[in-house]
Parts: sequence; C-alpha cells; structure tokens
Amino acid sequence: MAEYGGWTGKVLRVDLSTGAITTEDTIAKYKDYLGGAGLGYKVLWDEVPKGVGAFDPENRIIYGVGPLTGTQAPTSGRCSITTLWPMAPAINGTELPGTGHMGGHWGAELKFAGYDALIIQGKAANPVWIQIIDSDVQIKDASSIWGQGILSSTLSINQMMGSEAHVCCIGQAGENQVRLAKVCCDLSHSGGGAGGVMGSKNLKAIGVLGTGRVNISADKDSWHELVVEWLTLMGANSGGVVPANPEPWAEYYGGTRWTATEGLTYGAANPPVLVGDCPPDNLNKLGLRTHKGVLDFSAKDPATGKKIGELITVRMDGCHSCPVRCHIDTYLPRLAADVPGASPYAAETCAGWAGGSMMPTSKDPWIAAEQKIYGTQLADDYGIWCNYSQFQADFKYAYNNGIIKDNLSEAEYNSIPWDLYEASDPAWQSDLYRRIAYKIGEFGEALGEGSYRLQKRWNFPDSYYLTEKKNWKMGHPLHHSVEAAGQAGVVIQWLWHRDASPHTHNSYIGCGLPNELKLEIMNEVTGMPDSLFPAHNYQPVTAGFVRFAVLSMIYMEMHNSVTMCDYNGVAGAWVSPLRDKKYRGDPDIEAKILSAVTGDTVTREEYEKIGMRILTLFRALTTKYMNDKDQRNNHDTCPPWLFDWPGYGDTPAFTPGTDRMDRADIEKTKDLFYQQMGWDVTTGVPTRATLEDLNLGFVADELAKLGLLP
Amino acid sequence: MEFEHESVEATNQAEASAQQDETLAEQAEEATQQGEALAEQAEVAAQQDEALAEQAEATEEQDEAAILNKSKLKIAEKVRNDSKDLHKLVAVKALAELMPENLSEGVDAVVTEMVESGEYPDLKTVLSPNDEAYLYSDKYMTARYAAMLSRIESENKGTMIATTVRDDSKTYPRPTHVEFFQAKLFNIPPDEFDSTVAHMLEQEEFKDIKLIVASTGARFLYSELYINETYARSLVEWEEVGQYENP
Repeated sequence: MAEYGGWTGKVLRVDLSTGAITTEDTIAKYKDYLGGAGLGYKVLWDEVPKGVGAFDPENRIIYGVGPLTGTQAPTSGRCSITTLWPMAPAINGTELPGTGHMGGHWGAELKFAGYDALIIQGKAANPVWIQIIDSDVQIKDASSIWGQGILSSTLSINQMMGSEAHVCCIGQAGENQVRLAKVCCDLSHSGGGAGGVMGSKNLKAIGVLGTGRVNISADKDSWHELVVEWLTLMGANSGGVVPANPEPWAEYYGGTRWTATEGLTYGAANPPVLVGDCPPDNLNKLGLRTHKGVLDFSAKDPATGKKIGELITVRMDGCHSCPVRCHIDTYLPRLAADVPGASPYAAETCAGWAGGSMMPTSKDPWIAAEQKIYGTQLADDYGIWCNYSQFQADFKYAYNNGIIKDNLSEAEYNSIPWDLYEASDPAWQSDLYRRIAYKIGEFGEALGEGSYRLQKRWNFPDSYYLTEKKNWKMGHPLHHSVEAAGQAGVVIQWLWHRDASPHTHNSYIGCGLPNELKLEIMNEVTGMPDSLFPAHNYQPVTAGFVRFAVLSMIYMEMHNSVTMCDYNGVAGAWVSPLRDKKYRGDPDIEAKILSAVTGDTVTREEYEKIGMRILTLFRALTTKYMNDKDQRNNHDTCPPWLFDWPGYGDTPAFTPGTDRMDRADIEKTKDLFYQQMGWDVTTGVPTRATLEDLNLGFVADELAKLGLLP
Repeated sequence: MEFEHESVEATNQAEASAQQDETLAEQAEEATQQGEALAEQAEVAAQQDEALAEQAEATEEQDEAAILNKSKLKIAEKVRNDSKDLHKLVAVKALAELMPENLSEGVDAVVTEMVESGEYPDLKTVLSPNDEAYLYSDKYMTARYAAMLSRIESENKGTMIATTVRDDSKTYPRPTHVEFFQAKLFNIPPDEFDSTVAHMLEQEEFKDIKLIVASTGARFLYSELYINETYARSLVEWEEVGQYENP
C-alpha cells in the first residue's frame, strides 16, 4: 500500500448480524472506483442482489470517502453515503440505489482513523452504535441514546468519546424507518434520505476519532503550490466567479453567491464582524466571500432596511478543508422567546432551511424567519429530510387541494392544530414533525413515506404531474434541471433516482459571467461548437450541449468519489475569477490534484474516463435492479409538464423565455447522450464494448447472464 | 660731386621713404590683421552670446518641462489614490488646479499626452453620457466599473438609468432590479427614482426601456433592444422565485 498516497489502504466492514469487524484492501478491490460513490456502487454491484429491499439486513450502507478526503485539497471534506435508497421506487422488491452527499468533518475523521470507507451490513439484535478510535472498533450498546434526537445523541457520544470525535447519527425518524429520514453528521450536515437504512440495522450512530494522517505522494513544496493554484482559481459558493455587487476590481457582477461587499457584516456576532470587500487576489478572505445569510434570509427588516440574514448571522462555517464557508450559524433570540422549546441557535444552508416552507409564509419577515429556523431545528433533530423541498411542495399541494382532509379520518384531521398552521405560527411544526418521526396516524406515516409513495397512497390526481413543475418522476424534485439547463438539465435529471443534487453544470451556468463568454469557454472545454444555451433561451439540441451535460455528470460523480464538494467544484476547473486568464480555469487541475495525492499520475482524459466508469456502473446497477433492458423508455422518462405545463401558454419550444421542451428534440437528446456515453441507443443500456473498455467486463458478463445486455 | 652727393642723399631719402612705406604697409597690414582678429573675436563673442541665449532659453524650457512632469505626477497620484481608496473617477476638468497657471499647455492636452504616450499605462479615460471626460487607474478599477461610475456623473438620471439597463440587457443579458439604483452605488431615493422612471418611460429617446414586475412584486427594467418581454419575464421569475426553489 505504501506505493500510493491518499488512500489509507483499508476499508472497514462491520457486520451487525454477526458482530464481525474486518478490514479489506482498498487498492486491490476498489482503486478503479477511487472511493465515495464509486466505491459504494461497486459494493452494491458485488454484494446486494436484486430482490433485496432497502430495509433488509442484506442491504449495505456504505460511507465512502476518497483519496482526497482528509488532505488539504480544497473542498475535500465530503462523505458519500450509498445504499438502496428508501424513498426511491421499489421494483421487484428492490428500491433503486442512491447516494447522499454529506459534508462536515466526519469523513475526514474516518480517514484519520485509517479507513477509506465503512461498509455496514446485517442487523444488530438490539440498538447499537459504533465507536471507531483508529484501529479500535467496537459495537456498543445504544440503549441510552435510542429514542433521542440527533442533538442529544451526538452530545452523548461526544461525552463518551471526547469533544474531538465526530458523530454521524440518526434521529427518531431513522430509528422508526421513516423513508424520509436522514443521516446527519456534526449536528447539521445532512447526508440525505438514508436514515431509515441505519434504523433498519438498529444502528443509531457512528462516532469516529482518528489520530492518523493522510499521506501525500507529491513533495511538500509542489503539493503546496498546487493547492494554492487551486485556491487561486476558486470563486465563491456554487461556482460564482464574479461578485454579486459591482466592485471596483470586478469587470462583471451579479447573480452569484459572492455576496461580500463593503459594509456587510455578520450582524449577530458580538461585536459584528465586517465582511468587507473580498477581491480575488486576497486568498486570506476567500472564506468571507460567501455571506450566505443574506441569500437564505433575504427579506428585509422593516426597522433597519437590512436583510434579516445579515442581522441573524453569527458567522459562516463549513466542512473540513473547505475555504468556501457556506454553512450559516444563526442566532435569533426572539425564536426562543416565541416558541417553547426552540433554541435561539441554528446552523444550516440552502435547502436545509426548507424545514418550515410547507406553511403559509408569514407576512412579518421576522416570523417568517422563525418558521424557517424552527422547522429546520425540528427536522435536524428528528432527522427528517426535506427531499430538496419536494416534501414541502407535496404537503402544500395536498393541503390546498383537500387531499389531506380526504385521506385522514375526521378525528385525526381535527386533531391537527390547523389554526396554528393558517396563522403561520412556527410552533405548529412541532406537531407535524413529531407525527412524521413516530409515524403517528395516517398523517405521519404517509408524509414520512416520501413523495413517490405519498403521491400514490393519497391518489394525487394526474393533473399534479402536469401542473406542478416541481415534481419530476420518481418522487424526486426538479433540481437544476430544465429550468437551469434545458436539455442538458433533463439528461442530468434522468440518471439518478433521487434529485441528482448536481451542481457542476449549475455552478457553471450560474458563475456570473456573460452568456457569450460562458459559451466561448465551454466550446473550448468540449472542443465542440454550441456547447451551451443560456438559461431560458434554449435551442434545438446540439452534440456540444449534450457533451456539456455528460462532462457535468462525469465531474459530479468524480467529486462524489475522490471526494470533493460538487457545490463548489466547478470553479477552477473550467472558469476562474482571474481577469488576466480571461476567466479561464484549468481543466486539468482536478487530475493534477488527484495525481499529486496518490502518486498514480492520470491525465485529464484518464480522469474523465474513471468518471465514465463510475457513471456507467451506476446505469448498470439501475438496469439490474429494475430488471429492465429498456432504460430508454422505462427509466429515462420525462414528466408531462416538461412539454405541456399550462404556464407555458401558447409559447412554442425554443422561444426565448420558455423552458418548454419538444418531444422529438428530447428523443434526439437521448440519441446523442447514449452515443456519447457508449450506451446502446435503442435501449439506453451500456454495450459490452463500452463496459470492457471501462474495465467493467464483469458487469457485461452479469448483464448478459440476466438477459439485460443489448 | 655734389650732385652725386645730392643724388646719394636723394637715393638715401628714397630708400628711407620706401622703407617707411614698407613699414607703414606692414603696419597697415598688421592693423588689418588686428582688425580681422577683432572681427573674429566679435564674431565669437556674438556666437557665445547666441549660445548663452540659447542656453538660457533651454533652461527655461527645462524648467517648464520639470514643472509639467511634476504636475503629471501629481495628476497620476491623485487619480490612482481616488481609484484605489475612494473608488471614484477624477474629472479631467477638475485637474486644472494641479496645473501651474503659467503653463502653456491646457489640462486636456496634458492628460491626453499622459494617456496616449504610454508613460502612465494604468491611466485611462472614460466619457460620461454627457461627454465629460474622467480619469481612473485600471490598476485599481476596471473599465466596466469606471463606465458605471461615469454614468452616475451624468446630470440626466434618465440617461444614467437607461445606459445601465441597456448595458445589463446587452452584456449578460438580464433585466436590472430597480433596487440596484437605490443601493449604495447609485443611491437614488425611491421617490426620485420612481418619478424619474415614470418620466423617462414617456420619452422617445428611452422608448426601448421597459418596466416589468415579477410575481413577487419586484420591479425590473430591461431594454427591448436586447431582450424581449417573454424572455425578460422568465429571467425575473427565475431571479425572484426559481432560484430560491432550486437552491
């Protein structure tokens, strides 16, 4: 193992049924998949046959980190949690696979303890938690924390292991195998809807304390130089390479999360901290560029005219080794005074704040902020995922259209304090989340099933799939899809069975540069013309635009495997804030970073080929679990609203200002996509030639045996 | 032999006379030579005077150049400091106070020479919509930012707003949120902004500028030279609603 840096060389496996704790060689089994999501897909392919359900002991839950995790490589503090995804449709008894992407510090700590991944299998006889202190791994009794929320469980484990330990944990929702349950580490870093799988294994938490290190293959000076180069090319959260406001040093501005500017503060810090101007040449202020409070809480305080987000932000924090601080620490004392049991403190980011958005938003911006924060506190403690706010969208639709009333007994319906709901009282949410976490009544049980099952269980009408633009197809929401990237967004939305959580393409589109310049740069990256259409101004599909989608998916899967944050990943690879570089990034930078860490030199082409392998393996997994050779027609489908949403009016597709797609053009998009992936154009399944070229011959053999190979 | 004696005497006298003549001639020649030398000396002196006069003139010119250079340095320093510390443009006409009164060149010519000679490569000029010239240092300020500042200097707020809106609509393209004009850079009070926009939307020269209201009530301006209404509507809805639903 000494020949490579980055990897620790060991994967830890815990069988909760037998109590066996073993390790295996990372390089021998998983090097081709790097780590993270790639490693997780390989474990599922090898070990979880079709017919196994998400909550069966035979299912695996894989916490995968990668060769970069735990190094100083920027944004590398991520962990990918791969499993049969509880909320995804089950076909022949098997829920389709998915990956949650967790930030925080837990992933890096797992590396410091000496592991490239943790595979959990089986089911403990009684509730347990796992303690990992370097090579000392123990399965411990969890009876003292079972039944508690994520906050107190985490604190309890920290009391036992010490404050330096990092804890990945579920709340009551996960224990009760609520499909919408999430995993959280470091209290507020969500790993998506895999919480029920932990619960099904009677696994409450995993505490990790590592005292080791991650070796870097490159010499110290060249590694340092490379990290600084990477930092120099970075912008702000979500790929912004220009400031949100006009700044003297900036040629362009607007539309990004580079919100820092003169006079802006962390207003709830004592004394307030001046964020100030953060030009690109000052790397010491890189962490201040993104003041996300003013975006996530953008309503203005009527008294001061300042955004509430400025007034309640204590500071921005974030994940291990990430210079882009996008996690907001808030302090809102009036919440604790207004709502019994609420804390004045919270920490979250982006859709994590969607906790309260199923309610009518209060016209009082301060009450609206309380709704948002209290909902988030409850969701983060019970451990209930927002499904990128699809849960809240479903709820509002069901309430507004009488679906909730139709599906609950009168007694149950009347037991819900709807008066508080209508009054936009934040306190109403304590009743909602309690019912979901404990599966109380039809209300709690159905809502916790997640969108796909909820919509079927409560007979959402067909019009829901036509009129509600938010909903996609398998109960997962529109997320950086057609509304951001036209056909490229549609392709990206097809592949996964949860919202793809894709940000590489969206970060590029939202980087803040003029459309003309973005097109010019993307044409250089793809080597093809017409590689980008401006948002809401789409044209008939081109091979270049599909290539943009393919590259975005490849890089997203690489980010989730090496690991690196996909929310911040693209800036640097394709674009940068540097005027003297004409805003170009360095498309080779990720390959260079991986090579420097592992010592196994890869070119950009080789790096992208690994991404193709991981993406193709995921498609093969889907084909296998669906037991369906016709992925083109039975998996890669579009919701009807994509073509016929009433809101499009009579505006035809390819008119500036409409997101409407054209059915024939979408079929052409599939042709181009499958061609570029080396998948069979008729079925959308990878061909043997492609699988063998990607060192996935064993996948071809198994698909052939199952009669699924084209 | 008196005759002979007389003849000898006459001969002697003639000889003496000839010698005198010769002497006189020599003297005359000497005098001539002296005169020539004097003339030469005078000429040299005249030349020296001329050279001295030229030197004096050159010194005077050098003094003026030194003064000019000093002024240029002062101008450059002010422009750089204002760009760097105050994030402001410097009006060319306001630089006259940094120029000495007796300098033959006007400030416009000096600034033009400074910018065009390459001696101060970071100094750039920008024209406001009403053709007023301003200076900035591109070491501390981009051309686009300077152009934006130059619009603020315009006395006609309608022109300022329209030029900015057209620039956004053309460059990115995107509609411009009205709050942009009320924020720190433009700082137009809401009432004044509303009346300005109401007035400008009625004027022929701004007929391409359109107001659009998002479903949230937020108002934007765009130029239909570059964006049509359907496209503008989709962009403002994304800005106001879509991006928050798809963070």
